Amino acid sequence: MIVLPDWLACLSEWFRDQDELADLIDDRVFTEMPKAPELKVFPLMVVTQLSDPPIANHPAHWAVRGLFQVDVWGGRKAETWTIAETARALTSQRLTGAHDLSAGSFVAAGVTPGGIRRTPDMRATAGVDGEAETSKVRPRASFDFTVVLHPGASTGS
Amino acid sequence: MSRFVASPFLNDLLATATIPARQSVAAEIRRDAQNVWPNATGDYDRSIVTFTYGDSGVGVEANDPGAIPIEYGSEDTPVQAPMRTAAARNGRFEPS
Repeated sequence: MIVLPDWLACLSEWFRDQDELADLIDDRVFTEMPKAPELKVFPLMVVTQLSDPPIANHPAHWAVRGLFQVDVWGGRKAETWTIAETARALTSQRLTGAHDLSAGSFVAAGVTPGGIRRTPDMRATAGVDGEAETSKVRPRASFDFTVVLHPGASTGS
Repeated sequence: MSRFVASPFLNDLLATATIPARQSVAAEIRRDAQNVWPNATGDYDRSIVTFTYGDSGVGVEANDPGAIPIEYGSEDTPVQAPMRTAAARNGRFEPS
């Protein structure tokens, strides 16, 4: 039987393995905003999986078109942009292919990144008043990408 | 020899002809977006509407004040992405 890998765990590990990104944020790539103060060190990157619909109506339980969101939080505005653009460039130029990681084995193709959105924390644009709130607003740079994913050679039983 | 020459108005005809089909897709996206996550008050779900723009454009939008953080998340709230999830369910959604 084929059980698909945890795409989000795979991709967050893949991002952490990229030297260019590690030069900017060490290993601070998370799948949700960390709560613990010792982990919540800015700038940091959060990867979210939005969906992974199967590629076609086909009996094979195999390929999906994953949709992911990447958020870079904190630091200076230029810093967040550089980190987001580095992550986007890596996604665009290095993600395609086979990857065998501790989180799972997968093959990626058809990577389509979107544009980078540069916004502060949305509470600011939602009109939240008060110094206590606005002082917490952080620079943010985000992008989405779609990627066709299927399990790698070591998957299945 | 036989030859087919497209009407000079073909693009306009096609754009107009596909409006009902795209309105159906927009309605499906609206319905799915309303059902991606349980909604405590229903305000967000009720704020999702389909709309037209220009001569042939069709879209879906959420007008709730919290729509942006619901869609994209914030430092303190997770990404929920009901609109993009619903769009991905109803066709080949690609980020822009």
